[in-house]
Amino acid sequence: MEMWIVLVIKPKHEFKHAGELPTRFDRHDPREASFDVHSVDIDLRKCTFVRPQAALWCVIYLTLAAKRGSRCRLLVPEDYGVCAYLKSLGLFSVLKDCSVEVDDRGVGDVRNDQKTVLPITPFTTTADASDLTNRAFERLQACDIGAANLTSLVTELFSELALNAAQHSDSSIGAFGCIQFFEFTRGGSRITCAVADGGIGVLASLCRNEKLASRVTYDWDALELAVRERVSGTGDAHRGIGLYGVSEDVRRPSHSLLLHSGIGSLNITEDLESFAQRTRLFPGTMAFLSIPA
Amino acid sequence: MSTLRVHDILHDRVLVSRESARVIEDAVAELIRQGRADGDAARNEPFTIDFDGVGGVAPSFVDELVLIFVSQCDIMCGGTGPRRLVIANPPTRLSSKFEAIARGHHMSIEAQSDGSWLLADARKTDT
Repeated sequence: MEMWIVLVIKPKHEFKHAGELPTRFDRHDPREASFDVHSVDIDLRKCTFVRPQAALWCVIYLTLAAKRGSRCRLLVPEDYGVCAYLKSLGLFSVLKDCSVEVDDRGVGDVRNDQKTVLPITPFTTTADASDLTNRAFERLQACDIGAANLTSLVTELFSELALNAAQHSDSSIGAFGCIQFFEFTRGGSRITCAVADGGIGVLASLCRNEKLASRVTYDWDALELAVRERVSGTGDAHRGIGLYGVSEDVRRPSHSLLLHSGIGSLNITEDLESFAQRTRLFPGTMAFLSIPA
Repeated sequence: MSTLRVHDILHDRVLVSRESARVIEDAVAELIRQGRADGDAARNEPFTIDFDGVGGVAPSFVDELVLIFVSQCDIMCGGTGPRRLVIANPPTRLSSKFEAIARGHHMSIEAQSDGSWLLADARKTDT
């Protein structure tokens, strides 16, 4: 008798990132040919908070699963404010474009939200990454956000993350990026950039370089190696400056970088410096950085 | 002093990819050729690549640009000529990642009083 696997994923009410999900979902990797799930529901109905990196996980997981033929649904938050925020982030429209069911009726048209510098946007090639970066630059300038040098710094960092995804991920669904501006009621403001793909992951990418293959075993030690100077899966001695540069730039007060690839993650902050660990599955690679505006 | 204005060729506000750096490869070669004809190299004057009008630059673009500059210097000077490059009007601050880029091409880099960056041959200190 044929078994129909139905996957219902309910994140915590405050959904920060995929590392918080229960371990049982790790065995259902939608990149694998063996992924045989009839339907996938990501149930955000009770969520009161969804961070951009969590939203990108929803995009990657559901898009990969839909591509494998699963019936995919995103159950939107009951909280209207959270729902409107996710709509302004572009989450619903991106998913609908990827054949994922999203019932967002009653959520008004997205206003010209100054906080969403760049909504979740798909891209595939380095030319796309360049176009996206230039679009973000124009938008940041128009928004007049933060200090004078912030626009150039944000676009530098975002461009390198986007280039990495376009060049190294080998993702069957391409990649997605977004940039947001947050202003907190308690004071202070931040810019966040997130880029995610549904590709082979950092470990497999580095292993394409024979000289590196023997130096990495797990997703987490691959991430540790990937942020070092002139380390690249291409084997070209003149490559491997992008991720190193991003990681150097976030070793400053109030800056942070989270890399999540497969079942490994790496956190870089001013205090932690660098902390790699085993975590829950991200089917591809996600980079999220946060800097003060 | 020979100068190449990047924005005359590449019109994007942010220069991102290695491929786009390759678009100005011929112009860099012409810059070095012209500088040698004018005697700049003999006087040890640096070549200048001016980023005026550019709003942002990805490290990958700069890395490829420096690679192109070094390669063209080697082609025209047989690998022994001086390598000195000024990046005028850089759209960002000089940070450790740009120092790493220079180091990777056996060059030093430092900010000048006018805000430009001077990249100089560091091969002597490598040996």
